[in-house]
Amino acid sequence: MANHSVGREGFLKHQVILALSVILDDPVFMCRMHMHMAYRSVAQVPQGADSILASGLIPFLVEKLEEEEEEIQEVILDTLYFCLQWDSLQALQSNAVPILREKLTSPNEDIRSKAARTLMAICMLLDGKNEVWRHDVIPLLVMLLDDPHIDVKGNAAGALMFATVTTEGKYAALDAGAIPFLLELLDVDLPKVRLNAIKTLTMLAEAPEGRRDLLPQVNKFKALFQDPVLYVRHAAQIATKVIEWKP
Amino acid sequence: MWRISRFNFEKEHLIQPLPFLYSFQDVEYDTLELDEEPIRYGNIMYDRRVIRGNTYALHTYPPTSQPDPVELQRQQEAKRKALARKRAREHLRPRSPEPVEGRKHADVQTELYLEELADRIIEVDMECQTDAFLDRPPSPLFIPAKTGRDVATQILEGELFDFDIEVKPMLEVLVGKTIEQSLLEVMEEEELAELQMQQQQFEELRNLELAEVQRLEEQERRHQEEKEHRRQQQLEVLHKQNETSKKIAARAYAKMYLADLLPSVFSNLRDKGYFYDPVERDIEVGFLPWLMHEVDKTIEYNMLGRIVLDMLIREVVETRLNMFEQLGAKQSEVLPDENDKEREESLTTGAEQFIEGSQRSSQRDSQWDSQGGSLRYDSLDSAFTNQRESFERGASFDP
Repeated sequence: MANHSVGREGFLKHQVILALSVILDDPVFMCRMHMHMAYRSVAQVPQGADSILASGLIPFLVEKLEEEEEEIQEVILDTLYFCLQWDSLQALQSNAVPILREKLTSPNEDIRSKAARTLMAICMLLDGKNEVWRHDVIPLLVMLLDDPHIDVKGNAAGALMFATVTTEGKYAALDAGAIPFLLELLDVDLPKVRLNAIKTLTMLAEAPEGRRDLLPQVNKFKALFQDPVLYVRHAAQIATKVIEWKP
Repeated sequence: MWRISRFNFEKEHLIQPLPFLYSFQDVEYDTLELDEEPIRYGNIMYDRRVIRGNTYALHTYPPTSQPDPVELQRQQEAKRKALARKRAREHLRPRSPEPVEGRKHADVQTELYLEELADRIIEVDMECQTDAFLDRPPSPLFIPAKTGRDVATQILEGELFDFDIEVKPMLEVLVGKTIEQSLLEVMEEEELAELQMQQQQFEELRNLELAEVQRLEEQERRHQEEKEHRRQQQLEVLHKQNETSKKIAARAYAKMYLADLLPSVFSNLRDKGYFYDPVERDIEVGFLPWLMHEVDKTIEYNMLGRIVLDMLIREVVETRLNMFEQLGAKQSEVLPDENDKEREESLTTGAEQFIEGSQRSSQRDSQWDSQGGSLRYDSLDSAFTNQRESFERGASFDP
């Protein structure tokens, strides 16, 4: 029902969210699974995300993240991803960053990619960025750039993209040696991955050390000017501009 | 063969009533097993087990007692005897000779009318028993007998309608609808997939843009910070420069100001006498006061002497005056008032002058002038001369 927008409005009107939260602890697996899927669908709408935040469910979801089976974990991670784009304060308070950090090392690749995506959402707000830097997640993300699974790479690059906006993030990433990995990612087929990689490199190029390292590689960016996807071209142009900027 | 009945406990032997045999004689009982001997029916009147007559005085053993050993023996003997009798009987019975080898005896009926022989009487147990009382069964449904005429009709294939033709539109509708539905569903799915893709793309783009915005923001912020920083630095430099120049100016000014301070100071000091020749100073400080002091002392002595002298003279004069007055009073009492007055006036003036002069001298004594005591001395001297003159005037009255 929540897949349709009318259904979602109905949800919000009747405060079904709260009622559903009772099922969080239900012993039956399918019950919880469906409930989480409903939440995920609700959270994709801004109002839905707002109401989920308002009903204070985020701490519970973060707890459940630790305990539930993997499939449900994936759904929860998705829900969190949508909610956290608006306000990550509750999640930070409920100590989500260390948990997500653990999940980054989980053997299941879906979980890894979704955890990286959630981290990306957390990093969109400034508090999240600082938290992420403080918990030393950035080196982990840099490691994930090397992951065999493409999705994971893309999401890790995305998370880094946001995390490196702050200066500390930039230097942390540079120290962890992110540049070589990101340069590899520029050749990947999936446009999302390329976009994220370019953006992250742009961020890193803001720092003088980054610029110094990237200046010899400018040709790679110039090669991307011919990329079929429009946004990749734009991003490549911006990147070259940043790299070659002289103060 | 009768079974052992419990009816008569003591009689355990088998009771064989007189057999009611058929006409054939050679009954080979050896072929039969003992158990399967035909059941012999007998007359109940002659059955030994049935107790006849008075039953009140029967010699019935209690059921629990063991049969007496005597009784047992007797029974056994009776049994043996019966057996022996039987065997004897069997032995004595005339039998047909044994069959020759290869042949067998066969039983044959010799009567006129052959009967079917059966070894055993076919018996059937029949029982009859009335049922227990049953409920009255329900009355059967009353179905009246059929009345009327039966008529039958039969529709053969192809008479009513042609299936194929009729079914076509329906089929078309059905199939069409199904296909349409499935098409719709597939399209919906595709649309959903498309939407999903678009959503994803949009999301990526959004993320990208967001990152870009944040980066630019960050850049701006940093630039601003840098600018602020530089500006601050510049301000500081300026400030410092300002201060330095001010300091320099102040220094120059102060220098200038103080430039001719020194000579003036020195001149001032010199004027004030702070630079002195020590010998001169010494003379001035040490010697001259002493000198003056001595001079003063001397003059004081002098003055003292003169005062004493004056006092002496005054006393003398006063006594003389008194004497003269007395004399005068004695001699003439004509001119006493005026002369006295005059004399007194001149005396008093002289005394006043004298006192004045002494006062002046004492005053003069206090102010010691470096320009020499000679002047003073002269003034003192003049004062003294004045006094003396006045005194002398007073004293020179001589009638």
